Amino acid sequence: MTFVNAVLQGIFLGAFYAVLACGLSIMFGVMRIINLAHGDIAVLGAYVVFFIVEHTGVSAFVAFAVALPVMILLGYVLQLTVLERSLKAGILTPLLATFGLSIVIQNLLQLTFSPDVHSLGSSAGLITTSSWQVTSGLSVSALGMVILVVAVVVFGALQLFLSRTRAGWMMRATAEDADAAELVGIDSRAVYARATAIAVAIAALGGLFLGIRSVFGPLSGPTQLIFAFEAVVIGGMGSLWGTLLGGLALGVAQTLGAQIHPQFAVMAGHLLFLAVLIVRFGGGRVVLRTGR
Amino acid sequence: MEARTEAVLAAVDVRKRFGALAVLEGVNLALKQGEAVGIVGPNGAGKTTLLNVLAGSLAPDTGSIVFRNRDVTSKGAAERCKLGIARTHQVPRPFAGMTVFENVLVGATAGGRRRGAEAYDLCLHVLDQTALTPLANRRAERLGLLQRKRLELARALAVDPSVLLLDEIGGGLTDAESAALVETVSGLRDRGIAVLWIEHIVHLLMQVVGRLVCMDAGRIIAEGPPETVVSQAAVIDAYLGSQA
Repeated sequence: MTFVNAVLQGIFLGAFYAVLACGLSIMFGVMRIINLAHGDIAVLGAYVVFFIVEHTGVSAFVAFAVALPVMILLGYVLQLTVLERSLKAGILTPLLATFGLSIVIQNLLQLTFSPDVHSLGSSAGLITTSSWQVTSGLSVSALGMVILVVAVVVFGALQLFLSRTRAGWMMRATAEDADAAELVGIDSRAVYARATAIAVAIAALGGLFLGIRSVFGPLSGPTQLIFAFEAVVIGGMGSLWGTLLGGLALGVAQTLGAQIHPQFAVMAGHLLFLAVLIVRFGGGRVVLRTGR
Repeated sequence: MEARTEAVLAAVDVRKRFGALAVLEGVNLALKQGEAVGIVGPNGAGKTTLLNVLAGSLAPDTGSIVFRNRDVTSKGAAERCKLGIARTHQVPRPFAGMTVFENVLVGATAGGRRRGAEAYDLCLHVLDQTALTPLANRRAERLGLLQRKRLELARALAVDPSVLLLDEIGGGLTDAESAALVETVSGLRDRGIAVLWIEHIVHLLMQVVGRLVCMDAGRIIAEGPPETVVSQAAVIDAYLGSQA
């Protein structure tokens, strides 16, 4: 039963990783940008929620609803000011630009909020601590279920967006071949800005879950980035459902690793990541795909 | 000047260099509504570059592109497409991970600005025109080269263009396929679409175009009725000179 429980907890943890990884996957799939500031953007989202909670006393979820438009706008601005320019300068420049952005965000957060760590757990209400004890060795936490359901809803909504809407078709076409997309009348700048806005919004959702699950500080970003990155790579880079599965696989690997030894949890995730890298090494084309 | 005012799309003294290499050296070309113009010339003559400059994928160094008496030189490819300029590539560039229908649908909804049922109707019509209907739900990456070429044409037609720029879509076709292509392009011309067609297979062009342009080394060296142009000494020299 402990094994089943470990897998279940791993799925909950993995759903959190999948939400974190989703935006990273979108930006890589559509623009080939590996956003090294992705974790910091998630943490920034958590801070925006925290700021609203502190000043108004509303629940973390209400605060997130307020923070969401702010983060979407931030995504647009980020693309049109920083990333758009860096994309024109070759494949390495966006990597450097987002690396710099990561440092800027971390230091701004330290400057504004001090290096103290915070949590959104208490402001999220009962959901943080509630759980159902199914049997003695098996418990289902309310937060875990919420994150899993939200993750599936987010990925499902993205799938529908990409396969059923005009903006989604345009995004897929641009991901396949931006120049050819221009020639059928698609403004790739606008599509890229939309993609980044979506990615930043979902990163902020990841930040919300991070803040409710545990604690965060100005320097929490890079750790989140590593887990998100591992989830994307395990899932096959740029594949949407792959990213969800990659996140779940990473989560399960970590909780199973913890069964062997508590210190082995994160290492087990890294080992899975390495194994996938070795198996896939030299693999082929990488493009945002809606199906597997 | 009179020709320019009635032209749908015109290149006016267009020059383009790639580093030290002059690819277009003062090209003037005007396309009228419902007119089909063919471009021939040896490899490296600047034909595809001219198409790129007309479509907006490349900016000319000097000179201008005029669309319906409007200077569109500063407009990008996407904007020009929305105005009604569509093109195909010599090497087809389908959206590989999307189905044939989705490829066409993107064209109809983005450049063609169609919505809902109107977009679907246009797509079905275009797929029918290019004989791609049976392949509509196949992913573009699973198409053969000739099918990709048809998809390239279908996607360009889906934006409902008033000017169609074709870059070597006739290569490798069987006689029956060639005849179908000639019929399709002639039909487009007769519907009032201005067609500019680069093609090495001259006899295909001869069946469709009313005017033939021969380029060599970045210049137009001959222009006029197809029969006259192909028999001119300069044209024969340009071909034999580069291919000998």
